[in-house]
Amino acid sequence: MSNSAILLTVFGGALLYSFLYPQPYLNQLPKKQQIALVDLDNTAYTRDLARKINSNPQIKITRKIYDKSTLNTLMQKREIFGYILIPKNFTKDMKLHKSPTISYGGNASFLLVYGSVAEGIFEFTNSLQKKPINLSSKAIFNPNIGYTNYIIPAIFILILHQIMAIGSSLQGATQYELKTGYWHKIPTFKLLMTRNLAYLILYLPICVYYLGFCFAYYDVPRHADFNLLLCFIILLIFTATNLGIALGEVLKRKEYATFVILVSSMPLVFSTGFIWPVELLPTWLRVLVNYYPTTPFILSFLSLNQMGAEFYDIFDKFIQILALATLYFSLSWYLIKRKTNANKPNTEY
Amino acid sequence: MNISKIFSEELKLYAHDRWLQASVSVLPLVLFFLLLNVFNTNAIENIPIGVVDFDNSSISRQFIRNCNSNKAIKISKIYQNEPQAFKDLKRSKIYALLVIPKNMKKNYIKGISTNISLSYNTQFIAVGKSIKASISTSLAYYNAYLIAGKSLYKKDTNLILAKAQALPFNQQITPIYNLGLDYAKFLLSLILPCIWQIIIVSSMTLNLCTLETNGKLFSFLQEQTLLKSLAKIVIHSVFMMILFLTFIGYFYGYLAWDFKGSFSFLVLAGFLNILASQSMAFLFYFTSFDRARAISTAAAFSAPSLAFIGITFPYTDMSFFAQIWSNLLPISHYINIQISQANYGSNISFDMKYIFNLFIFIALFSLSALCIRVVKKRRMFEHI
Repeated sequence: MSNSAILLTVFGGALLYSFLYPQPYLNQLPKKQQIALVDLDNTAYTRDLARKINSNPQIKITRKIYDKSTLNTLMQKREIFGYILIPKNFTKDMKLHKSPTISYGGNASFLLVYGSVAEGIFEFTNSLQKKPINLSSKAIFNPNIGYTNYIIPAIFILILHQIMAIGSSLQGATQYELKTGYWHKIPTFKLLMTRNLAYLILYLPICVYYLGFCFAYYDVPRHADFNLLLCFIILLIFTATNLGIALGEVLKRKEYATFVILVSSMPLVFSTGFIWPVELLPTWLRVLVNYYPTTPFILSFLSLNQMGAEFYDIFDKFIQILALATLYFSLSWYLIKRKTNANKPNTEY
Repeated sequence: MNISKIFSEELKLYAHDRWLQASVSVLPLVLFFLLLNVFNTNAIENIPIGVVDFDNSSISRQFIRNCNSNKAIKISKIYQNEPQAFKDLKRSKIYALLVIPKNMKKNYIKGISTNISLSYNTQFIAVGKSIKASISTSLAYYNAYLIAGKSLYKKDTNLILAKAQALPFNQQITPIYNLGLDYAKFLLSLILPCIWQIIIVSSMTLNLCTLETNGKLFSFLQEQTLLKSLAKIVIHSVFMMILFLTFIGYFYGYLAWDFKGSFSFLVLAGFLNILASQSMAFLFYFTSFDRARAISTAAAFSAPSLAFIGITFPYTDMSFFAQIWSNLLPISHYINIQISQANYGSNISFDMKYIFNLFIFIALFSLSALCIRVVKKRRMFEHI
């Protein structure tokens, strides 16, 4: 490993991302969202109602206005996310059993915020009523419904995989450009195994740093059994390394592999199944993404580490991982072998 | 070389370099196509959930049927006991488990409330929340039905409008500036611009890398640097503009999503975003003069844009560092214009601050020029 750019990419990238990527989510759920109260009735009852709505964890009434016309400007300036409108004669109509309507308007450009505020208001109004059936709901595996626990475990596996793959692709491609070196003098299998071992030593600390230190630091639960996790990490390194080597061999120039891995990341994030359910993907796409290692790795890691699954629960994914590891190893072996054979008669280098 | 020669040289570069060609044409289109296919169902639907029904009465069965008629969920299995169901939860075979206790019917007749419990998987937040909302809605309707004792409202499932008759007042929850309250549309309208920015930055970086691989770096730095850069920027901009028009045309033209503001202003914003992103690519290459480092920086810079764009997770709720990073991405400024023009139909003057921000990025071309000058002056490039 003489190429400092590779080391910088791998370690620098890994460090940067471990710090950077969780940043948006550090405040966990979107905080209390600021909304305006438009109380056109303004009676003791409506003021009390507003206080009750305000006690909802998801919202905070920051403004009271008596004029609807300023609402849009306030929302577009993002000073408020929505408003609650209590119509005139609300209290009177209620006493007359006319069922008046409270309306909530929210800026749905921020759909996730809108959803949680709407949910809060829905639940509040619901709670005022005695019902035959009540729902007690319990969020499991991520009890605080926090964004860190949602995004970090999956994205960290993806980042690790992509960075490791980039690292090993850079080396292959760099050597390809240099055309000559020690890698021509060693049998392919030995060369590949040595390289895998080198990457294992290089990447292992990064993985331990990500899944150990960072998870602890960001307070992400770690349910997986240590030995099982270690096994998982070794397989992850092995697969990512060989995928990278194969890509480096195919793409020939060092910037291409990085480019390909970079642009593939976004489609992968959304077709792995942790943001958008895999059940909704077209079959061909589901099949396709299952050939890319991150899919089984992310899903089985979430099962093991976040949802407390046992080894036999993810056995099918484990088999898939082994198959992919073999596939990419054989692919790199074949590609390197082909290159060495092609270069053999040319002794002038 | 005169101008036309320089431009035709640049065009030839795209004609001869298959990779470069693909990076500005086929590849981004394939990416768009893949993502459109990921989200081709629009809303979260038919998510498998499990049920344990300890009551097994007409009331509980009717409730299960009602839940099942909800578009978002599908009761995939009735379990005999909870441990069995939890195994499938851990394997993500089901995303939630609904447990109906004994005596639901008995309680109803006696007028006692029954608690049913829903355990929903929030490791997958979007899915979990959507399940919870669907069950709550189904339940609100069912409660209204039980209270009224008459036939159930025939209405499609909307988390928003649950009208229980016994309420002292009604509520109406209205999404404003939305795209039809559709999670897929919401994500797509952000994802495609982000991919587009990744493509602008990285394909421009690839283009600059060819200077070295084609042995042209020396002559590029030596003579007519400005004009040659201009040729690169102009031709690359044309490709990027076509991509831009492809996806906004698809959104607001073909799919006819709501667009309230000025379309030509959005196109201007898109164009400025292209220049702003290219400026970053120039910076990455000419500060390092190293292909691997330039492309890696481009990758690190642009890859996580979606997380930092400030819409999926609101900008105001982000940590300080996240806000800084968000501001460092041209696309964050562009997306504000897209939202404000498409959704709000804001006055153009309202968006001028975002346009100004994009110009700051464009001004950074001068920093690249400075780097080139320094390298030239010290004749540091001669070994390349």
